[in-house]
Amino acid sequence: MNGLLALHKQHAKELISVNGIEVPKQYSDLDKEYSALRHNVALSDYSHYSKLKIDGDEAFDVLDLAVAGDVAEIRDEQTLYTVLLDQDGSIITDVYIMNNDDSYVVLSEHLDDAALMTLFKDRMGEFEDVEMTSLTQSHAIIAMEGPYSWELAQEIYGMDVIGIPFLGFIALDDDTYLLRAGKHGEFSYKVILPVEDAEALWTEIEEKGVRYDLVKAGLALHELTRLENPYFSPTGNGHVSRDPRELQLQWMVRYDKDEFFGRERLLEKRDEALVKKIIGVVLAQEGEIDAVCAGDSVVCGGKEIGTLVACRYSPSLKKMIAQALIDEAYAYAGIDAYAIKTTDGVEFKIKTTATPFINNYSMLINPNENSFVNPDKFRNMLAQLEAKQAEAKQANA
Amino acid sequence: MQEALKNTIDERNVVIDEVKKVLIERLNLYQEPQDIDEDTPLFGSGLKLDSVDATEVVVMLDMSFGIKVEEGTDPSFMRNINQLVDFILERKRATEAAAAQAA
Repeated sequence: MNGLLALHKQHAKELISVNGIEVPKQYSDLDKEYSALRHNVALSDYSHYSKLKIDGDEAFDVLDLAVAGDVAEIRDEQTLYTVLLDQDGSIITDVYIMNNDDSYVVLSEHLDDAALMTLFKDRMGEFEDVEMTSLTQSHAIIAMEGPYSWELAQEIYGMDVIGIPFLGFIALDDDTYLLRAGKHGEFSYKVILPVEDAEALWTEIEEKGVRYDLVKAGLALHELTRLENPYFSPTGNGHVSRDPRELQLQWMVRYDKDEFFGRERLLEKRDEALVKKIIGVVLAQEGEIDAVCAGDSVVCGGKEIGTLVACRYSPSLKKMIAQALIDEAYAYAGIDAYAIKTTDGVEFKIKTTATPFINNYSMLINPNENSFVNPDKFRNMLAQLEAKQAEAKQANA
Repeated sequence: MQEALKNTIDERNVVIDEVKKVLIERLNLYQEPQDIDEDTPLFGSGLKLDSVDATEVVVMLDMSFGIKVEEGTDPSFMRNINQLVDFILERKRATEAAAAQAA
């Protein structure tokens, strides 16, 4: 057992095995973990991601043939977030592809190491000059996430952190990377590092994170955060559809790319009429409602027009939110003419909405101007603007 | 489908089509209109627009929809097509309400 796992076994409330790797499912209290992620900093162990290093003269060709996104788009220290499709053009999993000077690191949280490697080998075609090395057991992933995670990461890794764009990364050494990527709408920094270094880094982040009110978090938290900011999820939206059009995930595929696995069928389906589509819905009444759950019907004037796919209470909105698979003719945001009908026949009024459901707090933070710990700076741009307006008002008085 | 609901959806569809068409033209996007889902993120991932493109979106709102975006406006209306369309429809309704009140 590595040192980091030993720490988790000592302190985490519950562990879970994902892709054969044990990580915290819940560290302490879900509400505290949620609040930290949405308002300051959460610290998580994402070592369960499968990690594959792909090298060789034909590494690019294999990757570009295997995934639906355009690998040519990413230069050194850039990352592509895309999907692997099956022959039917349906999504198998999402993946991050990091380009480290034409050597690539692929990350996937929904497939284990062997399955991911098999998928790439199946897609190698005639290319041979490719070497795949698993980093899954040898490397951990520690994540600092939340509106002020950039500031904590900067304390540890220096000013370069501020310059990392979304889906950018820096190689800290030959074997360690700092990747800015997340699936919840807040700032997010993942450190991919040798597992023997993980315990020391976790402890350092925990200690330095005290003044950011850092909270250690587990994976269970993201069943909610990824509904508030929808992404592909095999257990969320993925259990009802794997079609990029139905899931509103066409931005993860490049129809105009010459060749990739699943392209032929994907293009055929693109020309077919869309029957259903996933959209966001918010219950009209406030509060947590246990009676509403995935599988409930969506109705309009007594007619069933769809089904709830995933449903949870959003602490940010103080309302129930859901993704629903709706008949295409009705699948528009901004409509308040529908209702959820539970299995008991009770109806709850809803409004369809754009997703993400929430305006992430990170959008109000400018790392060059704001700070969580520096009292001479404003916490966010809104406070900064209000102070500026008050100052102008006083000057005019 | 009820008449009122159909009208609401038709009105939204017209704005969605126009927004997609103008974004593709002004920003030279490679996508066809049907390939851009209404919840596609405009910045970061998704269409991968940048800060220069954000200025183009503001110009597009003025030129194509007669909407002037004031300084200090919450920029979250630019997160995706659906939120842009919400913003346009809200402004349209506010203008119509103001005109009705003035009449």
